Amino acid sequence: MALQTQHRSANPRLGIYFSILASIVIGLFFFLLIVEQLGADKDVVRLLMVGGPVALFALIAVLAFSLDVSDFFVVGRRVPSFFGGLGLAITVIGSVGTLSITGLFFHGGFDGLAMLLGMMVGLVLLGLLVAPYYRKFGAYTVSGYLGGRFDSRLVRIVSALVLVVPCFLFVMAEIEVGAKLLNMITGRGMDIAVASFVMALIFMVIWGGMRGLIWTNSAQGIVSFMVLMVVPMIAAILLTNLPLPQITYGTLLDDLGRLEVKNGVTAMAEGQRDFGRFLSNDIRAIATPFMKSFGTIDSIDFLLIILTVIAGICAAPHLLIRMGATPGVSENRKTLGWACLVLGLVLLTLPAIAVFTRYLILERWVGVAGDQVAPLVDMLVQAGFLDLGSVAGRLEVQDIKLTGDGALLVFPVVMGLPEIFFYLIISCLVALALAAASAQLLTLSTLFTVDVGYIGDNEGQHSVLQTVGVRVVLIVAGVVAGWLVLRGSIDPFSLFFLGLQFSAAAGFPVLVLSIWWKRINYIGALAAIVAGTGVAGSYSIAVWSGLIDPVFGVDPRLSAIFAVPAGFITGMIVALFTPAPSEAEIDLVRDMRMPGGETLYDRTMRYGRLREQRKKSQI
Amino acid sequence: MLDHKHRRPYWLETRRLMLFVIMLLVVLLVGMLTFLGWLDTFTIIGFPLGYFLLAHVFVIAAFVSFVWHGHEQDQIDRRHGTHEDI
Repeated sequence: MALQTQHRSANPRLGIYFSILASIVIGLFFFLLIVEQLGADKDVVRLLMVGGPVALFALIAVLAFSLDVSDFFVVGRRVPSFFGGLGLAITVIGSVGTLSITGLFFHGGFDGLAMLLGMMVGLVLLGLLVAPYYRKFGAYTVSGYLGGRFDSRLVRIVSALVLVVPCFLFVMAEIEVGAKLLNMITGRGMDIAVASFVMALIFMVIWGGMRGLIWTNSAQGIVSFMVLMVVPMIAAILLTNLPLPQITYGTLLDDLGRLEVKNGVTAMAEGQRDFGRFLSNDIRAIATPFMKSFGTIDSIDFLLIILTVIAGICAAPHLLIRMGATPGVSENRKTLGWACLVLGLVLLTLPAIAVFTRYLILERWVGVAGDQVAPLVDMLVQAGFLDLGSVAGRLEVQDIKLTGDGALLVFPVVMGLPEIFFYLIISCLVALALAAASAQLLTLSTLFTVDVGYIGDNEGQHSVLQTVGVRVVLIVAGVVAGWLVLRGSIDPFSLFFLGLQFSAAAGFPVLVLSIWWKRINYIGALAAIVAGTGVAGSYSIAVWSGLIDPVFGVDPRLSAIFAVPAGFITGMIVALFTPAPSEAEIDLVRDMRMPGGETLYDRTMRYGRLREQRKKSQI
Repeated sequence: MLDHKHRRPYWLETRRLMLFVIMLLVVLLVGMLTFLGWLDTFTIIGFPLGYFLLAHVFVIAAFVSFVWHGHEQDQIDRRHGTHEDI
């Protein structure tokens, strides 16, 4: 017999609302395309193209205002799988991921596949190993889940404290990228750009919490997905006559190879391969042929990137927090399925963009006088995304230097598309940055408030006071992250990658063991969290401060490769040498593995409320 | 709710399915990386075959295997009466 799961149904008109939103953005684009060609003020055009969609997102955020606790934390558990999946996919990749993958392919060619494969498999394994069971439990945060699963307040607090670290690193990376883009189009300086971006970021989630996050993310997902599919499609028609960039860029690879040979782009020597340089956002010229496998990093680093990114995505707290919003376990799998489809399509497209950009730079810019390349180049040069050396002379390959995040931005410029396409790409990237950063900021604020601070906690029951607490912490955390971004020049790609390492180290072993190994107890869980984080943290600090040389040459940005096994082994050994979990705990795991029935977290809350009522009636 | 005796076969099937999908992905990935040099001697629609398999076929295979896993898991849930009736 089927087991009943109760939930409220989603608004049936969601599809209509989001179609209207997509139509408004498309209409705005064509309107601006026309007025731009008619000679309208460029400042107005660019501000409308970037600001227009952001204003729509802000409107959705305000409309998602809610005082209901369940709405604020899990959107009443009624988010349809398509919208949940769309939001999840763009949160996985974010602006930093999109720019970094394009940049890694542009500079590293074949080696960029490591990040791509890691992200795709990471999302699949999230859906296989963790998400459905996490959803059956139904906690509002990862630490809430761990605390409830092991019936331990200590596990809850410790896990929240360590999982805040990757959230903070992710959010700083997104703020850095988002603010750099805003600074480029407004030219008002980095401090104003950071302040504006942080304000927009807080605005997206302060009204409705997770409710605001899910619906603004859906809108941001629609806008950014359209842009990432359509602009390369136009480029593919122009360059290869077919509107399928994901497939047709192969026809350019031969020509690209010939251009690389003609311009002296040859394979790097063994000693020149450098993982740190491969991953960083440094400004540099094309230095290796696109199709040369393991040309910028060695095959071991390639494999380590894949493995650590998989574990990082699987345990990322800002991805898991969204799982509670799906209506049930089966819908949760469908959500992950949609997310895999959207992410897969984006990941098939980004290498095409990198190849188009590389090919066009070598074909159209090399040998041309620097001051004749394109009018928008000045903007990119001033913002530090591009360097053309001595612009008056004829450009050589070594003169054309790009940062990793510059590869995607240069794409519409080197294609020779109308200026509005350049602003459209920026608009897409700002939407992606807002989507990912708002999810990360909301997650870290919820972890701080609900799991560490126990603010508004009423005998285990959630209260409206908690939603107020999260809103206050959102502002504080956003301001602190913005201030840290302004304090020093940081490499967003490295921060993002480091965030993945810490999320893998702190979360992956304990999450997997908590579901797939009944024998683990709260002491083992605690040991897994502490050992994983301890190894990742101490290895990174020891190598960067020069106390030790990298073990087997492993960069600290790949520290999860030591930390994850350390977490698994320590957690298992400690659990085996300490008392077995109680029968009640084991029953909880068994219930968690069954998709049907009431969400366990809601059941605990309901029992709590019943106990309260009984107490009151006795008084 | 299922009793302990009936939960065990359900969980064994669930675990077997999960391991099968993971092993499939591992074998595909390791196989493609191991034979990369040889595969790259062939070309398909302009791509060296090894690159094409990793950048296109593997991504599509990961998506398809996940969707197939979801479908199979739903079947297992129904067979054992543990599915949700939403």
